[in-house]
Amino acid sequence: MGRFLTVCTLVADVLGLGASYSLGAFFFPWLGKILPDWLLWLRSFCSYLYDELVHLIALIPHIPQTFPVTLARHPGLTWCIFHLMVHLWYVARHFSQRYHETDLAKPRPGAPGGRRWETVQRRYLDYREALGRFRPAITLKTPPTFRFFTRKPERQKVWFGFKTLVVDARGELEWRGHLLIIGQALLAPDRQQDLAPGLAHQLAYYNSDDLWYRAFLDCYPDSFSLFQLISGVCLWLPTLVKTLVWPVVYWRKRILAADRFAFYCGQGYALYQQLRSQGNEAEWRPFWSPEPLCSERVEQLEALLGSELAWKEKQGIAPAQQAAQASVVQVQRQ
Amino acid sequence: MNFLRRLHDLYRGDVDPDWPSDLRYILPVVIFVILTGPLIIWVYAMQDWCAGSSWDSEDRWQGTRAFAVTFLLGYLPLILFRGDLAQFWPHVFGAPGWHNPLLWWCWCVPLAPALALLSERLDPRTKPLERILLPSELPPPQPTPAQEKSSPVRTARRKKSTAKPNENRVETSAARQRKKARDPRPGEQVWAPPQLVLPQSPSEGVSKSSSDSSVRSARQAKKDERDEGESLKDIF
Repeated sequence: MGRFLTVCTLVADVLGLGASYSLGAFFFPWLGKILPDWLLWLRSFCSYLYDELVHLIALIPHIPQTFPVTLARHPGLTWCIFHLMVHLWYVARHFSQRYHETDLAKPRPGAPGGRRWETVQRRYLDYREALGRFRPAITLKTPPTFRFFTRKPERQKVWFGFKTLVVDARGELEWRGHLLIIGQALLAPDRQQDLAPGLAHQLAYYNSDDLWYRAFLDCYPDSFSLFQLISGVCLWLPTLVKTLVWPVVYWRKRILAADRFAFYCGQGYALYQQLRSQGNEAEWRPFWSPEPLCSERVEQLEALLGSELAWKEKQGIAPAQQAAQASVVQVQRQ
Repeated sequence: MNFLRRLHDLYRGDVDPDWPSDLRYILPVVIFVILTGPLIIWVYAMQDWCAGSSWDSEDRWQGTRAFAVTFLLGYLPLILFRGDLAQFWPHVFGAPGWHNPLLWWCWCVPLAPALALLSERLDPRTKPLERILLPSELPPPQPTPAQEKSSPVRTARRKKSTAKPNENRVETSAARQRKKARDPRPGEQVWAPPQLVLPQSPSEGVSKSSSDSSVRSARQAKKDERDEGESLKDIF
């Protein structure tokens, strides 16, 4: 489904480029014509700004002399270039965030061979062993390395007299591009039970195309901005697809799929326990939220664990009492 | 059906071509390729990609379905505005008429997702995940009553009485070799019960007893110690 939505986003992007051209070529000149007399100064001011901008472009070296003249005659082209430049800015922002590694430490000491490194490698071994339970075989791809970070304490920041509280909002396990980032606290020996299910869940994204889709979507704005609407840069069209379609149609299902993958990796029950401890009864989420309800995730895991337990009971490798208890729990929850 | 399956197997390289029997497929395939171009390759590639991931095939098929619906809907403007759209056809590839095979091929490409779905319906390649028994999960072999009755000493005596002297010597040397060949694993691993890969069952989490929790905490502490102190080299 991700590929289909990627194509949809690209189509929206092309349509946005066309809309930017139309706004520059037709809408703004038409708007200038219908302005009332008392707003004529605004029209003069805008055309002055536009002319100055075009003359500024002429100052750039190696630009053909005819180019500013073309832009002056075809304002739609200017808006197209403006659209592409804003797009380029978001792409540059994505790459700068992705490769911003000054806050990350390598898996020291002496990776590979260090304690943290081996902790993670042992988890991978466990997953591979657990995946052997299923046919056809599931091949586990693991990232070649990982980085960890130390969470910064909350601090107050004063900006022009306003005090704001800066909180380190990074998740304990997340991806930055294709680089796995783990909170240092999670690598402690006493937190292995927290690390194992979360890591299995995150590996699902690595074993599918989801990280590519995330990288692709990071090249678009995260939300609408007034600047885009006023300036006529129609980058809001792909942003619409990104913020409204992707979360509902794709990302919710992917979280459930990643839970399923964690179950295949043998971390179903640990994840189930984690979710049960997190879940609150009065659960609420915004309509466009990319996350499924916690109860949905719990129910899926219950179904998977219950079916496996029933299978084991059928094979005679799990006591019948356990299977009966599991089915009773499911019925109660339903 | 068989034709499609056979062709798909040949495409994947799963089977070798069997020329005397496969000759009858050649004519239909050639006609199909002339009419549709590389469509059949697109269809099989798409089906194989969707069936390739055993745990994620559902999502891939959903995407293919979405593509199929969109492309089929895309034929509407192609049919309604074919005159206008023909202007965009690059004339390097010939005139946009029905006799131009390249145009036919381009027309057929959007059918690939729909045909991949059809092919999957006729010849399913997506295999659902099946749970299998691990060696560690197999129950220990229980001795049958017949085996219990015939003790090894008795059978040995019986054999001794029937065997020739040379045979007896050979057998004893083989037995001696078997005795010498020890299990390469350390003793504690050989005698330790096989550990299941699966975590504790959910029903255990529901019925918590004090003894269970204490055992679990002790096991957890042991595991944590192992994680902290040992390295992979020490363990493996």
